Amino acid sequence: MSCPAPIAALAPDLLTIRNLRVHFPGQTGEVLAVDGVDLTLRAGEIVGLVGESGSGKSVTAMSILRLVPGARSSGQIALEGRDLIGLGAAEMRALRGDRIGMVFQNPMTSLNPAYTIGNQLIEAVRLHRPLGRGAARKLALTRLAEVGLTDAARVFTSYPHELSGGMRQRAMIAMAMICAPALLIADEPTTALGVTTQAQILHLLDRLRREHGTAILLITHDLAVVAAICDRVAVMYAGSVVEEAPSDDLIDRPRHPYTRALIEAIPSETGDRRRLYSIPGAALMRPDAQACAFAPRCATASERCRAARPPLITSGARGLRCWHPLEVSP
Amino acid sequence: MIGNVIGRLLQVLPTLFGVLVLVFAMTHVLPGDPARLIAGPEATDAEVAGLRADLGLDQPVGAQFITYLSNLSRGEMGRSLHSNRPVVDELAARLPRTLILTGLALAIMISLGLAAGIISAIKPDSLRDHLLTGLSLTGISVPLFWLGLMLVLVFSYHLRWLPTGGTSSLRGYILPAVTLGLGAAAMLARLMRSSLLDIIHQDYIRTARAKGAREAVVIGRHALRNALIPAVTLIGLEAGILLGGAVIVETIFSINGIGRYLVQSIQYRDYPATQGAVLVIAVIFITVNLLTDLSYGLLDPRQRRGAA
Amino acid sequence: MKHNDQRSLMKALFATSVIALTPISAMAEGDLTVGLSAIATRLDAQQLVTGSADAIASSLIYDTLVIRDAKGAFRPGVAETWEVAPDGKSLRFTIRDGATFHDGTPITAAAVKALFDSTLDPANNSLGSGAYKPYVDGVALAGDRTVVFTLKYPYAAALALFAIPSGGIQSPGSLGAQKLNEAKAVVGSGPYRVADWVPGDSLTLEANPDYWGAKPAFDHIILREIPENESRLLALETGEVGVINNVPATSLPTLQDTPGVQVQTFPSTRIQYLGFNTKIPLLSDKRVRQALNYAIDRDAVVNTILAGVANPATSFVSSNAWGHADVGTYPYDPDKARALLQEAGVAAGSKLELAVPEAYLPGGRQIGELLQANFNAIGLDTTINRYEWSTFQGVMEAHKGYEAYLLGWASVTGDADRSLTPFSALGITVNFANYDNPQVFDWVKEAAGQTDPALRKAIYRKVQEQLKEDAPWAPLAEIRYAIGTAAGLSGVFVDHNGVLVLRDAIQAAP
Repeated sequence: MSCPAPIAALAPDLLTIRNLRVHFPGQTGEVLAVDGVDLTLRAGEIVGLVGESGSGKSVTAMSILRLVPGARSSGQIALEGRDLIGLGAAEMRALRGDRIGMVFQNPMTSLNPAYTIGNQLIEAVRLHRPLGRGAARKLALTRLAEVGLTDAARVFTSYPHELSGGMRQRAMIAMAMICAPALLIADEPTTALGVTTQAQILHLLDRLRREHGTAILLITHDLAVVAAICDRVAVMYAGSVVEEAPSDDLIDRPRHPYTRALIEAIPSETGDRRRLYSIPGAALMRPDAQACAFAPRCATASERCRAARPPLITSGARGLRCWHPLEVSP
Repeated sequence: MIGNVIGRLLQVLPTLFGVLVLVFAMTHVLPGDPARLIAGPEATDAEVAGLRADLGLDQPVGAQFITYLSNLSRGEMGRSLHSNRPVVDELAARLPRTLILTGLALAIMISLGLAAGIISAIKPDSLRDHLLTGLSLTGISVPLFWLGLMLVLVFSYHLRWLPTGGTSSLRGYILPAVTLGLGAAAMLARLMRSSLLDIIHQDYIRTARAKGAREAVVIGRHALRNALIPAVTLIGLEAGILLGGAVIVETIFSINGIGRYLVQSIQYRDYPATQGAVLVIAVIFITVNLLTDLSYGLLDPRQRRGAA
Repeated sequence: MKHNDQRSLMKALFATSVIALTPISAMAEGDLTVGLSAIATRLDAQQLVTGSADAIASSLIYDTLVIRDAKGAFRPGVAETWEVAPDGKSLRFTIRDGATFHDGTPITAAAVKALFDSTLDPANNSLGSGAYKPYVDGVALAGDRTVVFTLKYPYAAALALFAIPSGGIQSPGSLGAQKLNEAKAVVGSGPYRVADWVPGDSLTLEANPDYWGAKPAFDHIILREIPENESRLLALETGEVGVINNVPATSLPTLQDTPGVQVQTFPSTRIQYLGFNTKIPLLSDKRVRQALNYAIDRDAVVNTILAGVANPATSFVSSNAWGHADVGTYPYDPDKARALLQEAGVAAGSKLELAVPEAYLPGGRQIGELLQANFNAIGLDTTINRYEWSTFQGVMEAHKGYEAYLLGWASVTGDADRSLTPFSALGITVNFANYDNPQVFDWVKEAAGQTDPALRKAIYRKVQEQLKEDAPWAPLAEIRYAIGTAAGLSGVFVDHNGVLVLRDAIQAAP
């Protein structure tokens, strides 16, 4: 698992995001949450989107499905060559849950407590497939079995509160996968779970993309998760992608100072965990794009960093937004 | 669930006994002699004394209570001191009126309250939200008495659409039920608004949207069901408050229901009638509470005991 | 609430809102609907309460031996003729031939005797017996058609006893069942009989086709309880009812200006008075009681607070009761009042408590406040204790330390005897003043037995003069009862006891 095969290397682009900017109406004018994100996913590929909370990674992911209340997106989001930003409300709804599935961080609160798992799965099917209740039920049971819920029939009739956290997240994944979407967006899917369950869920996601060829956009703040299953990683800081690379490359040879700080925060084998807060200062959205957003916290920042925002420079499989990239050790 | 209901019903008996003891004690502690009150202000002492003996009021209070309880155990509530008719009959004649009145008021409360709450919550801070919020604030703060008379002035006096009161037809119940139900509807609207606004920000609502559900389904199926849980609590509480309000409304609209009967019986120190009315109101109250608790189970599976 | 119930309620609501769009109709033709502040709770004449809401219904259902008209004069009822023995110790009634009870059985002298025997039987605890027991010794038959009541002592006002509601003639055979107070048990003798009774709500009476007297003018008289004043007024104005009783003074001007409605007020024997507990130190001095009398602005009570529903009181006995003497009241003279207080050695700022059963008395709250201001103006420190009526009665009986109190009294027989006897002994309930003047008590007893009207009146004058001098009770106003009727309705009046009498109601042809 630590060395996934680059199965998607030659696959066509599934999702392309270009210069995505997301604004929120705030108390004192508009707030910029995402400031020019570029990202590409190929079919069957798992891409990690990594960053601290507030970095804009979740907003980016949810903007794909236009699920951020009150937000206004600009730029370009295309799924299978089809622009999503200009899509009508009905067309967007048709896409949600069908071509794009979504899994959220907290399986306890993300399932409706008032309905059984089966009920919620059947609803998800029937929103997009003209199936009878019987057929929908059969599909739901299949998916529940697929996500490793051995006692699918019991889970089907259970209410969310009657299941463990891991089972709920599996049910959640089964629901997101019910229409076999081309893209699965998983927003911190393991954060709320115990360590053992985390590994199992990640394993499950990896298996599902192999079985269904579903691309997965994995939102996480934890580089360890990325290292486990992602083909590629994009690191976000203060609303934009600062570094992008195949995950092995990125972890072994980070070029952005922020990426390196993140890697250093991965818990070591001995359990000595140096957390992200070891980076001095806190991430701030920059209202002016006239500087590198990371500069105030960066040990190597220069006058230039504070005067001009570095562009995203792509070279081969890697992209980088930094005036002073770290030396790549051979 | 049925065992649960029976258990709850059995728990009710000591409560009712407590209610009886309390009411019996309170009515007898109140100054005022029923015999004199019934005989009227111009009655002489001899007239009052005769009546007192006839009503059994010359017996010690303890003996009166024991007599009352033993009658009650046989399903008898005694005779009203004031009318000399069986209290059971008097209550049976009045109960349907109060039930129709409060039932209609509850229906008005639920339909208007839910609708207004949902409309407000769907577009918070919109013009219609502010309008409805303003209306419900007015609805909560307007005194029942004033509202009732205003409705009579408009609909009975000026428009002549509805009678000023009475129970001869269902039409007579419309104005009183509206009077009684509007304030409660306003309360419910405010609760539904805040409850829905809270729930609309819940994760599972986002999940429902992510599944591709239409907004109507998101609100109607996913948000409403959960928002109804606090609403049911309020509806249960309001049912009791409506019973209290029925006393005023029954007087304004000349509906001779349980509420007015209770007030009159207290004014006359008509002990058996007061006891009977309180008992009936207590039973209604307890029943409503029971129904409220049971409906939690229907709405919220987490409250269900013994579910698979 | 179950879902289905909710749905059916909603359906009902919808259905009624459709019906609601058709305009409301007034009373049916030939019927009279009456809106009453309170409706009868007892229909058994032996058990009903004189002067209460019961009497309104019973005066339609029952005839009495003699019946009083709007002026208080006696006219024949079940008795065609009557005779008071010259010694005043017996009354002889000749029962009308051909009159029947509502069940068709004839009203005989024997039936009347049986009825009054039952009323007087101590075992029956008849509420109405209190009116008869002090006077009536026995009932006897004298031939087929004549009943003779013998009295314990000569009682000049005795005839009035046979015109009060408690003397309503009901079938003696029905008495046991009557006591259960159910509509079907009622076997009356009057122009209207019970058709339907919804206790506490409405009482529908239908014309008695076999009535011996003039044919009843309405097919039905429907009595409805409308306790709330505003609602009752509106019901009259919208034509839902043709008569309402107890119109509050404050509503009189508005109602008078309403087209299609007429307002009438009727005198009564009810006196509203201020009583003084003569057993407490401050009020035991006659001069203090007189001073308080001088302090009262009676003109404000009668012409401002009770405008239109009161006349000035001129004695403790109402001017509408037989035996009234116009002895006058103390004029409004605060200076005189202050002087009397000083003479009596009452220190400025002495405390006085005033007990007021507010809602029970017309204008009770305002009169209480006026008296407080009047008494404070002569240097007292007056506190008002407000009571609900039912509590007031209990408080007055239990708590002997009360001081001044506001109350009313009416003579249900329309005779001065009933205005005075209940007050003329120590320790009897309504003598809350603890008035104790044996001379006056003897006069009252003497007057009751005096059969010469002129001599009797002379005694009552002495009594009333002495009462003014002793001042245990300060009469404030004579209450008038106000009713509203639809235009064209006549013959409706309120008798001296405040009972709305409907039996002679006639609707003029439009």
